[in-house]
Amino acid sequence: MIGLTLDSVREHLISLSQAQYDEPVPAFETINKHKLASALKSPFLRENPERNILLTSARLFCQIIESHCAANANKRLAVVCLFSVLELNGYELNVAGVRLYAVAMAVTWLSKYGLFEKAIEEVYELLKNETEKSKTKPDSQFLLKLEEEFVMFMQGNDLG
Amino acid sequence: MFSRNLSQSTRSASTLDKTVKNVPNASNRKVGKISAQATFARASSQRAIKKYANTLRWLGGGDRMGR
Repeated sequence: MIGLTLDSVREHLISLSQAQYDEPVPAFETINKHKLASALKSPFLRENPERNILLTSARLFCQIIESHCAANANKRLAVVCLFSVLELNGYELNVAGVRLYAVAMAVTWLSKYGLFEKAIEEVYELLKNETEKSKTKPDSQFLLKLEEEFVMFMQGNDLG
Repeated sequence: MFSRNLSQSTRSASTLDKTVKNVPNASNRKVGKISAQATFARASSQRAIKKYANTLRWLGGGDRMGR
């Protein structure tokens, strides 16, 4: 399983900020990197003997929303990170946009009322039904590099 | 006069060089190298933004959905 690093989140935020939304996307420099690093690492540190990437991705999505590392755009960042981490591990997200919106909002409210595990279950159920194995895969050498960088990020404490 | 200025600038450049080299955990970005993760993220986020343009717009406060 390959996860995301702070470097990749920086790029996600740059891409999001180039799209025009009513609420602005904060710059990477202004977000709480300790919280973000924790949200990116913790789903991969949990016991997951089956190496279930869908469950780990669901946890990552919820952690990014719940950690509230940025002043705004946390849900937008979580959507892009979910899409990206699934792609990285050979899956394609095919959920309808309205459903994804509803789930992101539900995660916010469930976490607010202390039902974080329930939120993860909801997202996991969605991913089980609405993802499929990707037909195209990144080059194996490139995948190795991505994995190497992720392992370094997991072991280090550099916050970029 | 000219030679003194030149030697000063050479000395300060080499000091700066040493300082940069000694910084622990200097990220690749700072020396102009783009990581594989950043390269992948750049392309992947573009695909996500294209595929889920409306979802992201609603989450970003557009159309007052969820407000």
